[in-house]
Amino acid sequence: MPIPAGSSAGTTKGSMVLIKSIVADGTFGTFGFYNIPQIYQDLMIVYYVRSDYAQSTTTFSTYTNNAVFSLSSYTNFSGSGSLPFGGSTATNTTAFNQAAGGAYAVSCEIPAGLSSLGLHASGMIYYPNYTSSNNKVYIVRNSIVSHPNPYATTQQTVGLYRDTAPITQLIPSTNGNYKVGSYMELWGIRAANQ
Amino acid sequence: MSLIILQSAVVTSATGAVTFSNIPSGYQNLQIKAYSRGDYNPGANTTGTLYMRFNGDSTTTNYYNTYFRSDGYSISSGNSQATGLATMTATLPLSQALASTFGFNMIDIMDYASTTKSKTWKAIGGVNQNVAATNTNFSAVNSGIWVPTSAITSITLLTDGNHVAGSRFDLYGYAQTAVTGV
Repeated sequence: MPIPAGSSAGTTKGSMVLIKSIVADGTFGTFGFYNIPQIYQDLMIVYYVRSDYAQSTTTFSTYTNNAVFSLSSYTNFSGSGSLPFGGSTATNTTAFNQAAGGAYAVSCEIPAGLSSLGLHASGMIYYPNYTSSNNKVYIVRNSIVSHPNPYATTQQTVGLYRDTAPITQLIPSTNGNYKVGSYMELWGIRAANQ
Repeated sequence: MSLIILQSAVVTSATGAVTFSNIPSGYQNLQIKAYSRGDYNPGANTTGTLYMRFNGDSTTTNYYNTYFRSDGYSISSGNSQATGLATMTATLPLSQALASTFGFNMIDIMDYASTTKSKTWKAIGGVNQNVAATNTNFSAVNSGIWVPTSAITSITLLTDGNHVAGSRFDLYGYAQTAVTGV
């Protein structure tokens, strides 16, 4: 499959391979990446999403391998401007054992049904060494931009899926359904010898 | 712009320094992905620091560093200089951390081949140990400058103590041309 084009073609292989891309049709609240190939070094999810849930923002979480909740933990910080074009506040949260029934690999906020029309969150989730026999660390960069605030937020999360089994499925989920126009891509990051 | 892997270093036994040398100049920016853990032992659950040294330069006044981080209980920021190193705090687990757990950081070094600009870098990442305690888990942003205008041709990655076996460091170049052979 093609790698995003630049100005001219070369002979070197790119490092990113698109595994799967999903576009929301407004009927589902989960993007499911199942049977993830075990041939890459790292994984990366890129997303641009909004929910139809009847709040201004709602939670966006990713379940990893459907493991038990106690295996997952994360630390993040978030900041939001208190006034349009000026002022800022910073908050920080930590969370452990987020919920029963699945492992929250990620917990971020995304725009929902009552937020500014057309507003989406964008971000990236990165999983290094997802096939290794180590516990799985990940990082997330998430942002919502809006005018006026308070619904503009930038977040960074570092978390751990405490399991030495390879990651074979990732299920980014939200409350309600993802709005039409939302999409999510799963990329494989090749090793040097691939 | 495409991402091309240039060099990869997998640590097979404890080592204090990993160096990418002879870095080619034909890319716009560099990125390092650092999946690492250290063997330094300052106490239970503590996290450590990853350092970079450019072109072997240890001149203390050539490095200025700033961080912003959360351990889940408080947010802090600070800066350092006269260290002789680019410093990324709270970015890797140490010897008494949760077993089989590594930290991860994505480091971008902008316009590294320029001969007219000081070099700016930033890193996002941290560590998590699946336990609720202060100074144990971090989400961190680190950034800094290296003052010289020389092109960067080598980068040495250090920590207090050694990088343990299983640590991995990948160096990427951001290419401005399309790539083939997918």
